[in-house]
Amino acid sequence: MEISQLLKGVLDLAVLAVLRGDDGYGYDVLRRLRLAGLEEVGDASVYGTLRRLYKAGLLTSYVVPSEAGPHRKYYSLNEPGRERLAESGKTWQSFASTMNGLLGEAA
Amino acid sequence: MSTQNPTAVRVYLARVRTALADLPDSEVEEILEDVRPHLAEMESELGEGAKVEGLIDKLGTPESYAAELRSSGGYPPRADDPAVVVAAKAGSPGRKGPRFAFWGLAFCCLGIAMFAFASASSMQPGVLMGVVLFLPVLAGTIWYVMTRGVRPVAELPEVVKLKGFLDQANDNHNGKVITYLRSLKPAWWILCAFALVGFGLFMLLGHSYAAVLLPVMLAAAVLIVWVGTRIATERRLLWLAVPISAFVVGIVFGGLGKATEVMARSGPSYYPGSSYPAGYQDSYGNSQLTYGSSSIDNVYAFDAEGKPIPEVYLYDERGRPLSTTRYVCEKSSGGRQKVGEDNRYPRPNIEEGVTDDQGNFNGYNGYRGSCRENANVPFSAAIPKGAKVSPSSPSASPSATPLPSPSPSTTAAQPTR
Repeated sequence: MEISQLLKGVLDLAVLAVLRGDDGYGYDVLRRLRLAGLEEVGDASVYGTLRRLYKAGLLTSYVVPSEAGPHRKYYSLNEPGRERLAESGKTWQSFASTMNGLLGEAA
Repeated sequence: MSTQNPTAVRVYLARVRTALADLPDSEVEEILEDVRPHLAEMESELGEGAKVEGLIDKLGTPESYAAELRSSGGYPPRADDPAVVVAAKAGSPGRKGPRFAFWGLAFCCLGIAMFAFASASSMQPGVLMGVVLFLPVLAGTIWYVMTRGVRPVAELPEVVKLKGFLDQANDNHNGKVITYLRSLKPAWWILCAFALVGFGLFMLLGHSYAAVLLPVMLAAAVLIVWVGTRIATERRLLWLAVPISAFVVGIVFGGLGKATEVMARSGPSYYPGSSYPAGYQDSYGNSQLTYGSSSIDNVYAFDAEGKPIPEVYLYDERGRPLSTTRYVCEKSSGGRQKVGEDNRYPRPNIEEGVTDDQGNFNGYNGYRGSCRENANVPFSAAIPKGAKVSPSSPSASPSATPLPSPSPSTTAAQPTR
């Protein structure tokens, strides 16, 4: 099964999750996702998702100048973002356990 | 370092930007701010002399990258594939409308700016009637973008090229210049409003008929501020913002020109070598006489009995002759002609007109250009009695000095007082 297909549904949740602990700029978020094992995540998809979550009011952003290279725009999870993460997290857990149960029977 | 050699990133980002050209500029800039540090890092990983091909190997084409940004970011898909549009024949009938909207706007802005400049620098509100000439064309372009939107215009090859050029220049400086200019935008709308109202009021000072201008300027000022608040989301408003801005640029430059001219004239002479401020010379480069702000063609002198003095030579307080261009009638052409310059006054009056075959000057049948000189004094002066002797006035003493060069200012001023 194509992981990239699965990712489409949960990328929002994954991005919110990696921003739960620490703020991060776009490339940070991408690296954290990859480091967590989501190797297939597309660069542009992450940046697009960040913008969409930001426009939905779930993230705030601030700019940090960098002494070498272009300045960096950090994203951080705000209160609505945390609520959404908790909510979607629950949905995912129940969905995943349903799927696990389904597959456990089949296996 | 990536900032010293940003070529590959620049090219890549410029292509992404072009592929996202239909999205609001501010949003595209936000997206690219996220992407830029990543690309810069990738480029430095590729090492010295990184090519855009290297980035394409890693990330795919900028166009597919843009498409992925679109779908994941929830942006609307592009209506028509940009590659097809760019490849389409330039002169196809679908281009005429957008061309008209784009070049019409450019043409109108140029014209409006020029007339605004001319009006402000000459302080003649009537010159603004020239602006009215452009309004039908401008209205046509506005009608076009209102009914068809700005997308056809944004997809014109010349507009795409221009945008690409600006983007490259922008990425050269890591977007700082454009970002800085963008941050000045709100101030610009306010400046425009002030300039428009100020211009209207200023014109009213000199010309009462400019009262009709002031409401128009007030309306334009309100309009530009309103446009300024909405232009980020509504690109069609560019067709109002750009012409009004062009008008403001015209009046500001015209006004500055006028102001420097006025200052050069009223202030003390900053150039010790030149005795006359610039701007008061005739077509032969000779200085002209002025009294207050109006120029003088001729000077008549009268003695204390009111008898005209046929010949006087005028000097200023430093003994410099007040020489102006001397003209005579030119028989063959019937016009006036320069014969030299001197400071002898009064000059004969030169009347230019027409004659008929009988030699009647300015008759009904006149057709031949003609010119005649009239040495007579065209008026008589009544010198007030008692004005000629003013023993208490100390200014009378210089006139009594037997200097060969007269001091006309003191003696001439006496009788008229």
